[in-house]
Amino acid sequence: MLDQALTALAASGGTAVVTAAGTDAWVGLRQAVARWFGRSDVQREQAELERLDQTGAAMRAAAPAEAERARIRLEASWQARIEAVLESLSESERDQAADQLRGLLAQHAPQGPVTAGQGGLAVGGNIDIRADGGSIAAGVIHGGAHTGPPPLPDPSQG
Amino acid sequence: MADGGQVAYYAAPRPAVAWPHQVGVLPRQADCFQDRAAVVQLEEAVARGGTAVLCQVLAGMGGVGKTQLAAHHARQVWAKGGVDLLVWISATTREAVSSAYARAAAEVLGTDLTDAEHAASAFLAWLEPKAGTTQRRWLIVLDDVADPADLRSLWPPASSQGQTLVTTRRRDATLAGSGRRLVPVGLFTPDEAAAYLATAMAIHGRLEYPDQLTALATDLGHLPLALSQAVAYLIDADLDCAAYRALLADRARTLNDVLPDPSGLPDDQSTSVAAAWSLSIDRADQLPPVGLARPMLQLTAVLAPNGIPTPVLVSPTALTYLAEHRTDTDGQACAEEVTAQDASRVLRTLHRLSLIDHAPGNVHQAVRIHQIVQRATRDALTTEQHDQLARAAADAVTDAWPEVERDTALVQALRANADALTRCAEDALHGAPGAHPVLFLVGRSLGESGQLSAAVDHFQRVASTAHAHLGLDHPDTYTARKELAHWRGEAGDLVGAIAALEELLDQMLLTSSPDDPDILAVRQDLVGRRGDAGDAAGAVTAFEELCEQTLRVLGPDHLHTRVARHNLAASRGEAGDVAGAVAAFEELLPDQERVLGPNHPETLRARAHLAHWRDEAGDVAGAVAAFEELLPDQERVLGPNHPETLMTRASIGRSRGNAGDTDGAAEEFEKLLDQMLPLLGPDHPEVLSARHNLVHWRGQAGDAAGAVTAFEELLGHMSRVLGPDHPSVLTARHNLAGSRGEAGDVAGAVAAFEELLPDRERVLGPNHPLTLLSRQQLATWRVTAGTAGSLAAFEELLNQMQQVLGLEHPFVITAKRNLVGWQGEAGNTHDHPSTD
Repeated sequence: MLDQALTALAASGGTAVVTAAGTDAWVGLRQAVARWFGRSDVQREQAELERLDQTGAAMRAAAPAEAERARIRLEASWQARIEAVLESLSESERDQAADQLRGLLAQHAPQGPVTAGQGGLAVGGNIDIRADGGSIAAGVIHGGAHTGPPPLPDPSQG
Repeated sequence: MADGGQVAYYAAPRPAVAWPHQVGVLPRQADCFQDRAAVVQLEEAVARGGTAVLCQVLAGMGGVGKTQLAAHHARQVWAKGGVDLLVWISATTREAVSSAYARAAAEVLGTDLTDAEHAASAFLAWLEPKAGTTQRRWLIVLDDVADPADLRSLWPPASSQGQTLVTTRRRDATLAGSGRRLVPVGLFTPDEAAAYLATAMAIHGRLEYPDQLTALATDLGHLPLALSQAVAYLIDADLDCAAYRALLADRARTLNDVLPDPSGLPDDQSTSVAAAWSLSIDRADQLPPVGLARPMLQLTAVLAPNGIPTPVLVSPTALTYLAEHRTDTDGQACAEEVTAQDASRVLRTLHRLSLIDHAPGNVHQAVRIHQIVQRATRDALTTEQHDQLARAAADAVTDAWPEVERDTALVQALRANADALTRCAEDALHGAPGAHPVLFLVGRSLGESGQLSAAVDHFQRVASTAHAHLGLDHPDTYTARKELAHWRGEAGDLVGAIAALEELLDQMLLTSSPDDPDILAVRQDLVGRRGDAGDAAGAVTAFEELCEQTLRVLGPDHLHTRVARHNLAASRGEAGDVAGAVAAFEELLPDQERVLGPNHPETLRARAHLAHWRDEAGDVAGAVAAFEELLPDQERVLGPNHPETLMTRASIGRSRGNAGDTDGAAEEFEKLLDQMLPLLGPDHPEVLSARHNLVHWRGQAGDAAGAVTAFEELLGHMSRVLGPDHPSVLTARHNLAGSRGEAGDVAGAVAAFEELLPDRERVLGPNHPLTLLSRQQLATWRVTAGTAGSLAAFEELLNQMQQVLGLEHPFVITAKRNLVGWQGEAGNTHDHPSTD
């Protein structure tokens, strides 16, 4: 089991990889991440480069309607891969790898203001069963689950 | 010149007629003849006529004062010396007209009266203009022509020296033939009626408050005949206006009880108000389609006087009523089939006889009828007949009610008709065999059109009346109470709604099994409302149980089972299992389409909910596409003003904002609010929600300081309307806190979130997504403020959120991106300032 700092690191690592795809940060981050995964094994590093290129291609190829979903899936999969690497290491190796990852993210992760999706709310949506003159006749859903109260803002912190 | 009378004409010595001469007796001028707009209209019609139109036809319903107008005109012409000969004829039959002409011939020409027909012809011939002779100027008044056919070949000729004035209740096209002008005579205007009453009371030494007089005039529908008879009665009985109005309003009394008997009629009137139309009805019944006028008039007599929609009067139930109450020419019952075309024709007949106004082009208010005609028609029925009529009319309104209320004008008219019906037959509609379905339609329609407090009031009344008539444990009483609780909840009173549903459920369980479908229905409502009030996790468990139970008891395709599935799916999403909600709606939608069809409102609703949860799950583009595809279907099926159509537009606005188009989102909500406000009022939860969105997206579009002020104002309004613990109010506090930070007051944001968190945890529980989101915001603002240990705290929170909400929950994604941003920023600031 990873401690919470490492889990959070894996989470932000996965997000950083996918967020960088298609940006100026991509070239440096791609190389650094592949090297981190390769752990001095050239073959393994080459395989990671190909995987990273697939991610870049997938992001480019995703239709606009699909991009957000694709991105969320890819982020989760890179997060899981990072966690797997960290878990496979001994404690001392793990701390060292975590420092390296933190450093390369600090150096290569795309920067600028945090632009995160808005948090949204849903409310209502229960269906009310209607009776007509005594006999239950029709079911009607009330309230608009689909709008509900307004979205929650997310501070755009830089 | 007519030939038959010539011998007598030349043989007899010409009688010495003193000019000017009058034949026939004018009715006495009413005690307080009210000068009215119609007098001017008549004078204008006469003046405009010039030489071309010399015959005016005063047409209007019985009792509007046509005869008084004609007499007034005749007196004025006479007084000014405008004519040499004035003939006043009560023209109710052909014989009456013909013999009046004969009498005129005798008086003017000295014609022998033994051959009346020849004498009449001689008179008409004398009226003909003849070149080269000195013509006498004449005015002939044919008062109260009952049938235009009676005047065939008896019309006075057109002459530059003569004028003909006709009064009639008929408005047949033939009456407005060439050379004749139809002058419609209506009711008094409210001012004329009040002035008439004031004068009439004053000459009897009575002083009344003007508002009482105005109210009495309204009660009597500004009908001159009724006003004059009411005055006669209340003077005679020595009642004041208020006491008289109370008598009039008493439905147990007939008009005959509250108006003078024939011996006491004022102004030499010959008929009581109640009898004023009976001849017209008799005649209408004789006209084809025979025997339908009376039952049709009865149907209109219990509906809205200011407009009955055509579909009500041609509905299957209406046609059945007409057939069952049809009489043949001898007045015997004859149940022949009646078609919609017959119904339309009988409406035309009633219109021709001025018993109703029928404007077929105005479908929603095709038929108007005077309230006193309604009262007189209802008075003629026994209680049993009246109740039977009321339920038939209620069935007819129900028949005409559209399944989907997209035509708001029609539905408004139907509600007005149901209201009128309830006013005159409340007992009949609430008593055995049960509360009439139209009562439920009206209440739901009020609620669905956004008139929530009116819906609450309506069901309050239905519930208490049903209780009184049917008993506490009658299913209709239960239904009314359930509806009442439902609309209280919709109006924002969740606590009251929950308490009412709990009480109802306890009561029903005393007599019914827990598997009873009605019990299951009430439980669905109760669980849903508890979920609305914040118990999201409890709602999931309860809906899971309900799903199992309905499936076991009622089977998979039963309405209740599908409803329970829908509710379960939504409650999962509410409790944070967004992916679960999407999956459940994806599974439900094809079943709804299969059972209900693609255009059913519930199918559309399932689509809306699916799109919503896709949006929540982060598939913003997919959600926008789904909403945009849904909108035209909703506009087509539900109409553009339907609350669910409006909600889809709100969803589109929100998704646009989520996708980054904050200006577009603000604009959409601005438009939406403009449309919703007049429809729903400022306190409607959906209106508050739209305002909330508008403020939010304006803030996101850059005006953070403006958002703080606007949120503070909105929060005050929402707390008042919804109560301080309402989840939406907590959300407004959350957003206000955030906008403080965005406007630069980071410490204020931190403080506000610190204050909000305990309330979030108390109302929604510690693991509710919204509680976690508020925590995440607090942590975020602490990092921004540079609070020691805040980054580590944020990482800890992220882990907890991942465990509770899963890796792909939008709130988790947001948190992760914030973390990445800070890491990039750290690199940028401290180690690699030039990396870009």
